[in-house]
Amino acid sequence: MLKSASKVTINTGNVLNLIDIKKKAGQNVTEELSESIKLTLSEWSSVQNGLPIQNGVPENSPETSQQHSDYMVVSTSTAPSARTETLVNITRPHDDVHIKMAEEERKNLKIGVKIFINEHSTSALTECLQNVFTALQTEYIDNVILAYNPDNVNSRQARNDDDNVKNTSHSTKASPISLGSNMNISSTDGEADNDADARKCEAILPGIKVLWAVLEDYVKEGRVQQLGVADVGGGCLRKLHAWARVRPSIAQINLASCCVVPPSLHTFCRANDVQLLTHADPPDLLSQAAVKTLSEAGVGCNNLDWCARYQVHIKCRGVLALKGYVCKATIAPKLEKK
Amino acid sequence: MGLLSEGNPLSWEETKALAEHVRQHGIEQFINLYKKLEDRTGDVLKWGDEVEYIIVKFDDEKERATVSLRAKDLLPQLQEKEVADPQNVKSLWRPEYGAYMIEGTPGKPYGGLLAHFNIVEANMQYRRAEATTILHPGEVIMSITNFPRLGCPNFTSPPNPPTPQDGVTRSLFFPDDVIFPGHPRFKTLTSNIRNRRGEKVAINIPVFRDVHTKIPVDNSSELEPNAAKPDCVYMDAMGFGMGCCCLQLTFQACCITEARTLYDQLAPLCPIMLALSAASPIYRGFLTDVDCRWNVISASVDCRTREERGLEPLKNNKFRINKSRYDSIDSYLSPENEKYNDINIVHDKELYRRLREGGIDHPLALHVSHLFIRDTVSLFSEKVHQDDENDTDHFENIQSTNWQTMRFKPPPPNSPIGWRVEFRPCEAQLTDFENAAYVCFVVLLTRVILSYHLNFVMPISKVDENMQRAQRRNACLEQKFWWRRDVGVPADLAKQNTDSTDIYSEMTINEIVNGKDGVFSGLIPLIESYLSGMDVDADTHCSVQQYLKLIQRRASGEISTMASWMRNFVTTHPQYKKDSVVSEKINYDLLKTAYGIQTGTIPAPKLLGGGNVSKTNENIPKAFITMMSIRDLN
Repeated sequence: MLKSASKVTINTGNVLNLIDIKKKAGQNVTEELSESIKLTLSEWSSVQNGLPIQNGVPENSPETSQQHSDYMVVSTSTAPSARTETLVNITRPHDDVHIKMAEEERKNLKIGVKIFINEHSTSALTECLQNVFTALQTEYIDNVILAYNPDNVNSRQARNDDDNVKNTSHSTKASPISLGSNMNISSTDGEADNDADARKCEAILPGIKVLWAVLEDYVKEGRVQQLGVADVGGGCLRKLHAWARVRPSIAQINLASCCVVPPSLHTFCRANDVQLLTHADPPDLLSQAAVKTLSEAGVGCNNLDWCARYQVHIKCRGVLALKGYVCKATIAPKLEKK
Repeated sequence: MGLLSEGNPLSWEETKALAEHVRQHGIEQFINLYKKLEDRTGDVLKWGDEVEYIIVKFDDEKERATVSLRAKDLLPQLQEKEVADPQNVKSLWRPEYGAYMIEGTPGKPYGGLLAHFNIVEANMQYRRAEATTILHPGEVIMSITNFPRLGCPNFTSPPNPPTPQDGVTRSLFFPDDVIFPGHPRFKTLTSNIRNRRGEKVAINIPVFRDVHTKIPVDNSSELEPNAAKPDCVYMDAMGFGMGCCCLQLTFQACCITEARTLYDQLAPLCPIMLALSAASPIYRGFLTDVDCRWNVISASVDCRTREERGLEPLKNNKFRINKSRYDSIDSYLSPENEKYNDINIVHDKELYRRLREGGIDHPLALHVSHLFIRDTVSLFSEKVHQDDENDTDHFENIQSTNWQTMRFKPPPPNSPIGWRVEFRPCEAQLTDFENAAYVCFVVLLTRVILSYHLNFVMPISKVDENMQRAQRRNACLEQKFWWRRDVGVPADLAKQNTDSTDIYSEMTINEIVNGKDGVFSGLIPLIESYLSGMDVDADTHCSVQQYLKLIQRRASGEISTMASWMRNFVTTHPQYKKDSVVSEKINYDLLKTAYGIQTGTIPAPKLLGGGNVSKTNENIPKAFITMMSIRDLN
């Protein structure tokens, strides 16, 4: 058994055509991320232990995947050089990211990356981007969207989200469609919204600026073309827009509010050519996804430092070519089976 | 409804004599075209919709609704802008079979940005408004699939008597003057189909049997005992079918392989979309036992002779033919799906051999030689002699008179257009909102299929079975359809046991659309997964959510199909006598109410659900155009 926690990076590779994920279409992002991590860990550990994998999909009933991840943890910890600080890079052995990327000329592809990070650490962000570039082996990325959710903002939002989910859970599944229509996001009480926005902005804008400066350097070097930011109100976006050397080209808002976009945000985006895009990511994706890997399979991913989701689109054809995650995690000893 | 060549139509005798000529040269033209274009690649997604409308005239004093035969007056006005500036119009207008019909399409195809989904409805609204401005008082245009009293006495304005003894149709019910007079193609087709068949077309649709429904339905079975069935609504004219309105879609694929993939993958969706869009339960003033137009149109252009239909031994004809030229497809086109072609594909063996010699692969050669078992039924004197290297009219002649659920369309010669696929089963919906919803749903599905490499293919005999089930009364809620359990089969995982029955199971439309736990994830959850991986702008996502919600609710039964709504309207009408008859007054009230729903003055929670307002917009936000141009610099 593993004695201490290990830092690892996990690159899930292309999760688009993983059969398990497809069978559960419509699952939320947290599930998709945690499933992808678990699958990656179990596939990787199978290979480490010389176990057979059937073309990227192991026989993964919950029991077997637990066993696999158990082996994985033991093997990394018992390796002579293994220490708490050793960074192990975990990937899926039969990933097809590079095959998919090679199928189209780079100019026909659009690569978008969203970075989830809860601390305003420039080194963490740099590490994250380096991992993304390594994972994709590409010269440049078309756009990077920053989702910065420091813990103090997180806890408050998570509570609100829980309430919303409770309110809507009686309708047909928890699909975004039903969420979107039933969610009570009022655009009439603009005062209250602005207050909340302003408070949130105070809490996150300083951190965003620290991280933004890193992203701007990437843009200057030509390695990233456009920058975006997720879940900031109209006021905050305006401030960032005014401050930034490389202005935000994209503002991402939660899908649940796409029919009730605050008019000020909408107007600002129109006036400044900012693309107002939707996402379906929970604000505290990192902690939620980490918990899910723990509680369900006992894999032992008890913390995610950061996570980047990459999505590659084929331009002008509306085709999603591939999608995957790179995360930095702390792998802990597997929990005992109950 | 196909190619509109200008010129002078040949007589049936002349046309018949040239049938073999058209076939031979049509095949050579296809071979030449294929050689030039088989490697064409890199085309982007472009797509467009076609909506057909009926011009309805209300007489509020007499409480009557009729079809107004004014397409010939309206079309030149509607086409003025196109004639003046064809590159920059927002809409294109074309004639259709009925003199009371017009067909509208967007002026330019939509492109591969998701933001394009948000301009579909606005463009449909624009088209409807554009046509509405030039109507006479009392006239409206309605995208209803079938005019309920089509073929009833005096169903037209101005009124016209049928002419059973002469003319091109010779129908007991449908006058020749109801056929669009502005182009000779329509009457020529009518006449040639009847002549080729050797008798009038015969459409028998089972009547809906209510408490007081009379059997025989009317005196048709006395007048034409060999054609009319007593317990059916009998129709004897091409106009009963080709006079229906459809909602069609065409997509451009990036290359021929993708076009084949989409053709194959969308084929199993045809019956599902037919049932989901069901909108035509009433024919010739009677409630029937079907909800859709498909079999009606199929029979309305069935040009097969008695020999070909298997009623007499083959003597003068070459083939026993199992289906009308308007019917579901007979084969998949991708080599990997050949094993699912489990019905007899009637084809011309000589032409097949020639196509193979010409370098066409087996499934495509089979498909084309299957289309080419048909004779031309419309030929123009100017088009008889052609340059097979550069012309494609003979190929198009046969291709465009095979009206199947799917159409595989080669690029036109010397054009910037690529390989395309046409999706043809949907019935026209009452409102622009609904039509936009169905259109976006299908186009989104094509993107999902390509992104996730989904596999919907099942034995084609099962698709045919589904086509019949889809048309039954209330099929959307009550029928089960063959469907693949596991649609995600990465090639390396596919267990090649295609005949194993547990690959397919019977599911309701609800299960197919919204998912069935542990069996199939559902088309809408798949679309949602796809969208979560795309960059969708807020307004577009809002609209798409409303569209998906409509489809989701139709599938679950929370709201009705147009067919169920109409059926319910009739059977609960105070003057309905439980005899399946849709009287002048009921028809008037039905269409008046439908028109009110269409214009938003009458709420229709049972048909549309509540609060479905999209954020449709006429233009794409500038930020997205900017984004595209930035990327193009690289």
